[in-house]
Formats: sequence, structure tokens, C-alpha cells
Amino acid sequence: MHKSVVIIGGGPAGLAAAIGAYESGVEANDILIIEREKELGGVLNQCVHTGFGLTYFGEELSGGEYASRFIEKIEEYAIPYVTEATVLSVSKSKVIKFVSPQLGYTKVKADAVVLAMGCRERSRGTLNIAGTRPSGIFSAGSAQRFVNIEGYLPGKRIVILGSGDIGLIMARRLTLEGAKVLRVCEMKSHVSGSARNVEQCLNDFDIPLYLNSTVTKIVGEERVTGVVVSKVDENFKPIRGTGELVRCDTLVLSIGLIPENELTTEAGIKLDKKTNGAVVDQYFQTSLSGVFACGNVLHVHDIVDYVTAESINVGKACAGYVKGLIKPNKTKIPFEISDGVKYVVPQTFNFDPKKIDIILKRFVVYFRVSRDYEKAKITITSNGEELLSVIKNNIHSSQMHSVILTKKMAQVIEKNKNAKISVTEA
Amino acid sequence: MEKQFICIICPRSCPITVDTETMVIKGNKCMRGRQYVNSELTEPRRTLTSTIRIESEKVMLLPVKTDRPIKKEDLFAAMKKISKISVKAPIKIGEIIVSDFIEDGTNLISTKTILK
Amino acid sequence: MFYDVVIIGAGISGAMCAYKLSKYKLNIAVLEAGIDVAAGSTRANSAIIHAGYDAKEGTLKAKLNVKGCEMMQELTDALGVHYKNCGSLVVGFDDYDREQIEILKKRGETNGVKGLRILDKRELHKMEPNVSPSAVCALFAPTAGIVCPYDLAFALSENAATNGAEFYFNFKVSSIEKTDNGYAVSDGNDTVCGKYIISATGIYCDEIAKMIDDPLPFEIIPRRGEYMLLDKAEGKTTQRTLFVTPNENGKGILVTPTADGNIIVGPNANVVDEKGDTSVTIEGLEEISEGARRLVPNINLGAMITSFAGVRPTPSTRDFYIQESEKCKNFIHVAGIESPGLASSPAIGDYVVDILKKCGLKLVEKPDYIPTRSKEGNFKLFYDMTDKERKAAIEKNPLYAKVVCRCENITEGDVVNAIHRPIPAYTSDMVKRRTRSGMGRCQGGFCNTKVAEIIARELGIPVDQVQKFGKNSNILCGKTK
Repeated sequence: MHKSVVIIGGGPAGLAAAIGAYESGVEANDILIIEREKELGGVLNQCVHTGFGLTYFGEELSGGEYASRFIEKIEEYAIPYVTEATVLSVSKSKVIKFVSPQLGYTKVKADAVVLAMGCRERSRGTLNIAGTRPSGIFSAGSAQRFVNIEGYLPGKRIVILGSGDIGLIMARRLTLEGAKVLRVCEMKSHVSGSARNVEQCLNDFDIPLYLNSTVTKIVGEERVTGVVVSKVDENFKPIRGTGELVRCDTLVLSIGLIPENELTTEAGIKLDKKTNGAVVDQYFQTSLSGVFACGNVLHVHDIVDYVTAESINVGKACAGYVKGLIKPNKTKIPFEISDGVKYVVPQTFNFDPKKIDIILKRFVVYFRVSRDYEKAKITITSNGEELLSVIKNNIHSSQMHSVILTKKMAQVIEKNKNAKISVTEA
Repeated sequence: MEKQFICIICPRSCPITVDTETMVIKGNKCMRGRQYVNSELTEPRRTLTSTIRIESEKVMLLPVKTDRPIKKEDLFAAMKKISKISVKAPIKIGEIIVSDFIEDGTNLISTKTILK
Repeated sequence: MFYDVVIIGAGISGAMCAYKLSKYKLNIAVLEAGIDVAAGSTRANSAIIHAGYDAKEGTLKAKLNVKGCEMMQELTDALGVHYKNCGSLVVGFDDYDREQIEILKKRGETNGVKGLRILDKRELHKMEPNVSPSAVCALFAPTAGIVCPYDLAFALSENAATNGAEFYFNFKVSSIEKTDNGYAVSDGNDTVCGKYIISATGIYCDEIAKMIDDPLPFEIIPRRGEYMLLDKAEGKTTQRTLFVTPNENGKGILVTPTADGNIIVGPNANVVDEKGDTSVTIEGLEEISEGARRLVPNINLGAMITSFAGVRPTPSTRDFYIQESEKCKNFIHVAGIESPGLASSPAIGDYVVDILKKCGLKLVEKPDYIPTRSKEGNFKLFYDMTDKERKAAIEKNPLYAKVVCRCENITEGDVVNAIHRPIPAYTSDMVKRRTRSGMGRCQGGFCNTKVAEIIARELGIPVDQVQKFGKNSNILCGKTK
């Protein structure tokens, strides 16, 4: 089998990339979406709550509703996809091996590949939680799946570790379905998720939030019977003597998301330790020519609307690549970051001076800051020359931000062969 | 007296303060924030999202929501009502499952299309 | 039914005895207190096939370790079990260590270990560049290896079951009575009778001995060892098992690859009050981390995906005790099987069969003996298959085209196969140990729902009745609607 564009993952990133590629001229039959689950939509299918699409559609939609807008387009454009299909490997020559009940064991040669595999959740094993290994321990996503797809309650008396949005959303969901959420513990001194979710998921239901707090031990032989909650210091180390046994039958873990890059590393593609995703250029092309990445597999997003925007551009880039308009990611211009910046995507630039705006008219730069700023000055320079300077209020370290690079800025960067982004207090 | 709120209408989560005597509202970045706070002071409302049982070949549950926010105090009563509902595929996204659900003018609608 | 041989305990020793004996025309019963094979120490240990230089000269340990190690490749090939003959290094940091290493080499040679060689600093770091730069020498044992201990125990048990051995699980022996023809072994509800009894009961071997009023002439000290398992991405940290020079507590904290490509770090060796205490402690994890860093300073412990612990039966004599009871005829103790129990197991099996022979057991070979795990042959997991084999598997059974555990590429075909094996799996942990689903980096986060559904479907039970590992370890708490 041969396809111009093969997209690994049929969640919001993969769907948008497919639509972007099609709308930029790739024939429907030359695209293939490979999706692991029974249907397209990715993790959105298990998100019954609303809050999606506020930016992209100007409406407040549930996860499923948001996904269906794009799935409808896929059907309308007749873009082929295969479900219950798992990719086993991506070779350096862009040959993708996958298995599915529909097609059996298949190999497809792609001109362009989009990595859109999303991310997985951190599990108990990555934290030093002592104690036994009984049933009753779930990642928040797993618990959400059991409740919203299968219709089962993971437990009746629940402690949630981690105050990211997923943990907060599940606190509300589990409470509404009849469980008692005893508390949400957060290791940091501030909540990880949005203030909105603290309000509508915790405060609405009088669920207490314990900051500077973590679970240090699990108790229970066959099923969880309790967890020991301890206070932590500024370095997140548990403070001896502060352990408190909380009787519960379930521990839900919302302790972080990690981009799923097994296929990426097996293909020899370079990863950025700061994002755990691939190192990409302004087209989101990885170090392997013609292989692109977008969505949570590239860097963990907070808002799906941004995933869509990012991925549509990747679709466009694929179309351009297939037409021969993008040069291989060889001469990379590093995009340096300063202390105020935690990470930036893209991490490199790969401009063709004659064709800078042939595919995208402008380039979006995504970044996260390493601490909160009341008033932040975001600057992009090249050889000391200031290309962009923007002031933004209330920049939080828990949110993703973006700025736009124009064609003119790109030309300077290309000429100087360097660029730097920094964030300072304004 | 000054009351503080976090607006839940969009992810911006604007912190809004209201002087309950003068009713001066500060901190909202849009009109919806103002409406939210007014509503919180008199009769807090929330959109309910959940699932109901569906007879279908592929899935067990249908995600649903109230098409308007309902009274916050009615949330658990609404969940109880929901647990008694069951539908059969096919159901279209936006289809009304129960009209005048919990209160007049509010419908419980499907948020997913399930063909069979 | 009256059995010729009743084996108490389905850990590596019991399973090996069942395997060796099921070649013969005998009625065999295996009684296991736990819900599954390898429920005790066999489930949680370093998984190392030691070369045999550690055990003191002249001990039973020394004899059986060297022999068992030599037999491992052939045995694992015959049963389709992953075995890596990766070799091991005892790393030395100073002159004292160098002395110890030379003693180990001499001891190994006396015990019959082949190929032992002392490496200097340069050779050591060429072989394993990640070993601490402070290391100055090492004892290289090319015959050592690694295997998955419970996979081996399953393979042995499945072969025994295929050849007629009967397994009784959740059978916690509470009394053993002498009868006219042999013994009656009871768990309070059921009784199994047999002529010859083998007690291969791990940390409980002293309690079983008391039941026949033949207390062991030594103490069993339960020692817990905690471990950290690192992500496969760290698999290249070391190619060979790395040890420090041993002390009186044992072999110390080591860093080793596993047969599946992960890295294991551990164990410590702390005496526990409760024999069944396999919990992991914060102090333990700190202890192991320190030990690991001594060997490999840049080891990426942040790549830990889970931690676990096992309790081993340390005999106060520090040697195996395998012999017919002096008080009770035809009752064989297989006691004090701590390290190198796994490595010695094939030789332990033969040794026990010899003892039974001397006791009078007639051994007539079965003409219809099946040498593999099941009548259909040995099982291969989908991820172990070649492209050709995968295509064929899918054509025969389309469930092999549905991947259930994406971290380890385990398919629904593998899971269903595990549920219907000669020793069937029916809880999610049992499926996990037979297929590796849930053992990858997401630790079941994605596949737990799917595996639970498959188990429910295959067993005809509702999903909320599926258990994690038996008794009351239900995964879920009922339906929401």
C-alpha cells in the first residue's frame, strides 16, 4: 500500500491534520488515518463534560460534540480511515506496519507521516508511593473511561492525587455519579488546573483541596482501605511525621501526562527532554524528513482548540511537503530559550529563503514559562536585533501561550541563522 | 460587603468582585462574566453533563447534557432522574431526549450521534 | 483419587518437580495456597540464573546451582520461555573487593563454573561503559543469565497440567495426617491423599514441617527484598547483570537487565515480621536507589515504572535442605530455597526425582508424553512473532489483529489465549503475568478497561465482578446506572 499522507492517531490532532492536508490539495484517497480505538475522536470520546470549542467555534461543547464536528468533515471529504488499528512500527524510510481486524497485518509506504498519538498518564509506579498493590488504584483517564464509556463506578470513597484539570473534572463526575470524593491532594503550593475547574468541580461540591500534600503510602490487602497523606516541602519531599491515614477504597491519580513517543524513538527521531516530544521546525517537521508531529504527542496541551489550530497547519505542511515545497530538516537554526521560558515549540527553524511563506503565511510559536508573571514581556531576537516584543498580563506557568512570527521576522532569522525567545518581568 | 467569584464561563477564569451594596462588578473581561456573577448572587445555575443507558450494537452509554444551565441545587435530583432513562439507537447529536427536563424550557439533549 | 505424588507449593521448586515427574506414569497433584502458580517468592525476585561461584564449596547450593545453570538454556528452549545468557559481573571498587573477587573465582572454579575471568578496569569499562568510573576490577561469569521466573514457573506447570498433573489452587494446607497408604493433606475443607509428598513451600516450609511433627533442624528467616523496575527505554543501561562484592547479608543491591528488556534494581534484604508482607517502603526505595547509583552513577531512576517486593525464605544454615524426612517416610522437604533457587531449579527437580526413586517410587516413562506447554505446542505472544507468524496468526484468529495493550503490543488473541490455557487466567493480574499486558510504561492505564471486558466476556460474568488478583480485589464497585 502507498499513501501520500499517513496520519497515526484519529484524535483531534490527527483529524485536523487530515482536514488541513485535504483542504490544501491532497486527494482524499491519498490520505489514511490509522486509529487505535473503535471510533475516531480520541480521548474526546470519553469527555462528556463541556468546555471544548470556546475559541475555535465560539461555543461551549462537550468532548464528543467537538470531535463530531471534525469527524463529520472527514466523512464529508471521504477521507479513508481504519479503526481498531495499532501501528507496530514506523521505519526510517516511512514504511508503517500496523494490524487491524479490518485489514489484518498491513504495511503502508508514506510520503509524509503525521505523528498524532497523543499522550498517556503517569502511573503510581513513577512516584515513590510505598505500601501494597491492591485493586482500587486508577489513573484519572482510566476512571473516566470506566464511568463514561463502560458505565461502572471505580469506587465509593475516593482520594484524588493531583489537581490538574483531569483530576478536578473527575472529582465532579464521580461525585455526581454517587461516589464520595474525600479530598484532592496537590504536591505543589498552587493548583495545577484552571481556577474555573476548582470552582465548578471542587467548591460546588465542597470537596476540600489540600496543597503541599501528597500520598506516600497505600494500605489494603486486596482492595485499597486507605492512603497515607503527608505534607511536602518546597522540593516536594514528604515531611516526616506529617502522615495522616485517610480511609478510602479508591485512589485516583492525576499526576501528569507524558507524550506517547515509542514509535517516534524507534524511528530514530530526536526528542526534546523539556517537552518529551519531538524536536521540530516551524512546519512541525521532525528530524526525520517528511515526518511531522502535532497535538499532545508533540507537547502536552491544555486546550483542544489549540491542538486543532496547530494540527491544521501541520496538514497544510504535509500537503506542501508532498508537493516538494519543504526542504529536508537538515540545516537547522536553533531557537534558543532564556531562563523565563520553560520550553518553546518549534525548537528549530528550517527556512527556505526563496519560499518562506509558500505554505504558511505566518508561523505560530508555542511556549510555556517557568513561573507566573503578573506582567510579562515576551521578546524574540536574532543576533540581538529585536524582532518581536509583546506584553501580556497574567502569564501563568500552567498555561500554554503563543506568539506569531511574520514573514519579515522569518527572513531575518534565516539570514542570521539564529533566534532567541525570552520572557522577563515587564 | 465585597464578594469574590471565579467566573466559570470560559477557561480565562476571571476573578470577579462584587460590592453587594452598590452592586458594582469588577474584574470580568466580558459580558458573560457579569451575567454569571449576577446569576450566582441570586440563583446559581450549572449545565449538567452526564450519560444515559442506550441500547446499541457498539456502545453502552450516550453522553447527554442540559441545553441550558439548571439550578445548582437540582443537580443531584437531575442525576437521579437520568439514572432511570434508557433510549434506543439511532440517536442524533442534539436530539431532545427529555423535554422540560427538571424545569420548563430546559431539555436534556444528546451530545453524540449513535447510528446503530 | 489417590495420588502417587502430592506436591505442596506451585512456586519454581514445586512447578519444577511437577514438570520432571509428569514425564512418568504417575498421578500427580499440586496444592497451591495462592490463586495462581508462582504466588510467593517466585513472583518477585531478581530473576537471575546465577553462575554458581557464590555458594560455598561443598554445599548442596553449590552443586545444584552450577548444574541448574547449565541446564537452563535447553529447558527454556524446550518450553518456549525467554532466556538470555547475558553473563554477569561482580564489580570491585578497591583492594579488599579485589581479594573477594579472587576468592569468588577460586570458589567458582572449585564448584565447576566454566569461563570465569577477572577483568581489569579497562576491560570492565569497555564491556559496560556505564559502570562507575571508581570500579577497578570485576569477575566476569559468562554462564550467568536472566529469565522471567514466573513465566518459567507457568511453563513448567502448564506442561505438567497438559500431561495430567492436577492443580488445586486456593488450597492452604492446614493439616497433614499419616494414613495407611501415605498421607492425607487437608486445607480444612478438602482433603487430598497421596503416597509421596513433596513440600516445596517457600517461606512456609517450616510451618508445613511442623504439621508432620518433623520440625526443620534450622530456622527460616523471612527476608523481604524490594525492587524498582525501570522503563524499557533504559534497557541499554547494562547488558550484563551487575553485582557488588557480596557481604554477609547476601549478594547486595544489583542492577540487571530482564529477559523482556527492562532494568531491575534491587534488592535490599530486611527481615520482616509478617511473612506475607510484600509492601514497598520509602526507606527501602531509598536504600535501593543508593545501591544502584554505586554501581551505575548515572542510572536514570526517574524512568521507574513500578516497584515491588518479594519475601525469601533464608535458612539459618544458608544452604538448601532437600531430603526425605527423617521421621516421616516418603515425605520430601524442599526447604530453604532462597537464592540461587531459581538458577538451581532444574537440578533441584532432578535431585528430588532421585530421592523419590531411592524411596521406592517406580518411574515408568509415559509413551504419550507431550514435551511442550500444551497439546498445540508452546505459546508465542504476538509481539514475539515474526512478520510471517503474525500474518498467519491473524488469518487463523482475527483477535490477534486487535491490540489491547499498546505499550507492549499485546493483542486480544494473546489475552483470550491466556484465559484458556492449561492453567487458565481469570483475574487481571493473572492475565498480566501471562501476557505482559499492563506491565508497560502506562502500567495498565489504557488496557485495564479492555482486559477487564475481555475477561468478563470470556468468563460470562459482569465487568464489575472481574478481580485484580482474587478474593475481594474487585476492580470496580458496581454500575453507575
